[in-house]
Amino acid sequence: MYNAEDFLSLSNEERLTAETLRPSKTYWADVWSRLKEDRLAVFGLAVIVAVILFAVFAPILSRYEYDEMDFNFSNDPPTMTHWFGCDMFGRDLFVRVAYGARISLAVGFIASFISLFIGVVYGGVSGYKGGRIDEVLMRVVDVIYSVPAMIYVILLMVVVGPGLKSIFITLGISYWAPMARMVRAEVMRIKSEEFVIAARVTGASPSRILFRHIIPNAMGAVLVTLTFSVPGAIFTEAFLSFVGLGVSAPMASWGVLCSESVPAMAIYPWQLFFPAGAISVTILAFNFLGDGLRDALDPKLRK
Amino acid sequence: MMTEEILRVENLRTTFTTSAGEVKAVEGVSFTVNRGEVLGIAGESGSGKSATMLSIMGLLGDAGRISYDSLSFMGENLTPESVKSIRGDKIAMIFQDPMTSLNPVLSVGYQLEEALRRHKWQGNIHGRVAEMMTRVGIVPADERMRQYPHEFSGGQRQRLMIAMSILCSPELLIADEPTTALDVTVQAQILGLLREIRKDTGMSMILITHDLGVIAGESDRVIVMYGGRIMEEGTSREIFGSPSHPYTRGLLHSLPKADGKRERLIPIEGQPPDLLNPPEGCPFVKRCNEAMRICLRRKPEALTLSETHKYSCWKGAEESC
Amino acid sequence: MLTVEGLTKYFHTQSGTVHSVDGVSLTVSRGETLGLVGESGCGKTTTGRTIIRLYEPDKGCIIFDGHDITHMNQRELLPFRKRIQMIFQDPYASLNPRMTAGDIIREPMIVHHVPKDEHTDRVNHLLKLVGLNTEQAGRYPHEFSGGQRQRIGIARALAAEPEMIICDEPISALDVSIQAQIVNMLEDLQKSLGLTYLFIAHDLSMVRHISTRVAVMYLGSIVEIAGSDELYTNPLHPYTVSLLSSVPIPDPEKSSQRKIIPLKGEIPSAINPPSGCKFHTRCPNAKPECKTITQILQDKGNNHLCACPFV
Repeated sequence: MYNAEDFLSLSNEERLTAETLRPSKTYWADVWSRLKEDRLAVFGLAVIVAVILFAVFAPILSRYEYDEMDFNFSNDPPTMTHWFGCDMFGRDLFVRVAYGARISLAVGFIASFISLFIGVVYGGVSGYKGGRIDEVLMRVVDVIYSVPAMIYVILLMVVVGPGLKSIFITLGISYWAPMARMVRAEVMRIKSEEFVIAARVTGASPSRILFRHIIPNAMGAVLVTLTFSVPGAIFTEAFLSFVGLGVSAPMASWGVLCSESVPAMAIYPWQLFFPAGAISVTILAFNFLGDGLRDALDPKLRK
Repeated sequence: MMTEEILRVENLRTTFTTSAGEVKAVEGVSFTVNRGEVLGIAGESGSGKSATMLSIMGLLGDAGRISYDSLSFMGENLTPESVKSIRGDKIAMIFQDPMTSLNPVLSVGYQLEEALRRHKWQGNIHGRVAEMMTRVGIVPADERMRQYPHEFSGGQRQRLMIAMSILCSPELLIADEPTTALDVTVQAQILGLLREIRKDTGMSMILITHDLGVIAGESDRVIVMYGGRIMEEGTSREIFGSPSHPYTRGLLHSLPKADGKRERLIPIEGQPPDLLNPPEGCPFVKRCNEAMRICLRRKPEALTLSETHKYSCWKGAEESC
Repeated sequence: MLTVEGLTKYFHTQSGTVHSVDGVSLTVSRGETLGLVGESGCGKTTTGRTIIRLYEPDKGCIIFDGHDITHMNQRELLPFRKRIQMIFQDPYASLNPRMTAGDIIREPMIVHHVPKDEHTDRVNHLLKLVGLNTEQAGRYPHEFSGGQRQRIGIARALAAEPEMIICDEPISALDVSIQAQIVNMLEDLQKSLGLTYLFIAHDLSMVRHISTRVAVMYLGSIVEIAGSDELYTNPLHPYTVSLLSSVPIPDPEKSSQRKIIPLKGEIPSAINPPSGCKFHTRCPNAKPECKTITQILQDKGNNHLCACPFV
């Protein structure tokens, strides 16, 4: 049953082969592998990619221009030639929705990135410095919070004047407050972690500690907040355009399209359906992705 | 004294499904607990000592699956349903962190009374809770029952948990690292308290800990676990007096000498077991300095040294083959 | 090498002033290991962190190798940061999860301007020194076990080529079988590199094993200091006596023969520490005058200092 060989002592080589080494995985590869498991998040990501491709390529490939009027097709329902139908001026809605996607996505991303930049720097300084400086900086955030965001976006729009550029600016400078608060909380938490203390013991400079140790560890939470702030910005832009403070015709953002179609929505429902649907699907997709990201970044949270 | 078996576990297996793969936390563990005795389960992180107890108590949650040949408590088979009524009643548990078992927004008196009501206690509920709190040294009981968990120190919270666990006069107390979070002087108090309660009530105890000193001081019999399996089992004297498994010996050698002789420690080399990729044979093979070729491929059978002393190692099986 | 005189650190919180460290004096000579033991909340970690100037001391002075570093600013401290390093308790929290093992060990070299072309060689040398493979330099902390991470933490401390290391509970988060590996390694490194250790821990038997001298702390003050064997065989202060009697012994025979001297209650709050001798509320031989005496370490002979006047 047994050979004498079985009872030979293990040589060092045999011992080493018994050692199994798993392939190295970086933090982000790990996050990605967990994110892939989450069906809703993958679905959200796929939808976002699809919307981006749609925004980039549909206007190029379509034979219609977004502002090309043809009164023969005025208020046509969806057909083989005009997939989403036409508006009252006979403009092709498919192209206009795609064009709207460009504007809405651009507003969403650029406004979020402006708020990301301001929020990370502001929150980072506030959390890292602490004490009096933190106190003052956070009271400013409180004041911004205490005014309902919409009122103050509208006020800014009235002052700066409607248009795409002013939407970027107003959204950017009004959306950073939650980001700043979140970054501050993260920085405060990470600041007291032992690896930061270890860096201080080594003699590392404050900027090295902030940029090499604290910020990289806060990026996960920043990314989640960013994913949730994009749909917020898209929605705000749609709302502003809807009430006439955003971009104006013939430019087409999703909000403008909705606004144009509302008066006749009982008669030509598709004119409202497609842009409104695009807004809903995109916002939902970002929320799915954000939820998935949050879980993937913090596996403990899932249970 | 007649030994009466109160808990019997045969061939328990527990598997967890994680995103990284299947983890065999417990692999074929069998043991018994007799009335009035203290069974110590020693093991390091990943040894499966806590998973064993959670499996028996049906507290694993969704991710874990268990199987066994037999599982009985006081002669009756334990099923996932029946264990629910026994839990907290005939079998009680205390954990390392008492805070997780106490609700921070309810007074401790209310929580202890609730525990009694849940088990349909007949008689004066308030009186029983006050009696048990006094028993564990939380006085004046009436006043302290109105307090909330955060008003108690770590040691007092563990006392509270002990009071809660003995409310229904359990036959068996499972203590999972009950003093790991406590300082040595408080640890001595808590262990002393548990000893007194056992003397008064004759309850049995399973003491799970990584601290060999605590095991040596409190246990009648000891099980040493590694990588989900029992490596060695015996009376306290057998395990500490004549350790037979290379792992048990290694553990004892890695501790500083009790008499203070400053000899170099002899550590167990290598790293704790990787539960995702367990070796085919003995889980300890990679770190064992007596490992042989067969240890890589086949799991050793248990060898009997005395009625109470068993260990699983090919080194001893060698002669008999 | 290190002299600390009357070191005091209070923390002001909403519930009051926490007297974390209250007049701690100690000396550590070159090449020795001073063990600092005590229960949680006794201020041993704060003592270590104040000595290394992570906290600003409120009173007292810290003299390292003849230089008063008590009030130096961060710039002046930089050369001393190189000479005193620290090892931490939690091998999970003390390594930046976004940096590779190699980058973690390299950081002190960057901070202290070691020429760039030497970095890789030195990182590899340090990895080998702490018993890791050089191939593991590119791996992230979560890919290592607890013991291996602690080795990375030690390599990081050594990267600055320090003369003294403050070890803050370096083994208490590790499994028993791994603890001995780390303790042996710390001993070997001490011998080969001539290091001086301040070894903070609550595991009394390990402290006895590794230390030349041991200081016992209670509620922010040192109650007894003596040579390691002297302290363990002949403890004088009632707190030390009780503490040592409470340590579990991994031997059932000895364990059953030994008598535990239990302490009443738990360590009082450091916000309102008891007057006089801080231990009088739990001391088995407390006398009325203990409430008013001042705690001073007195030499009881044989370099054995004890704060209790009645022994």
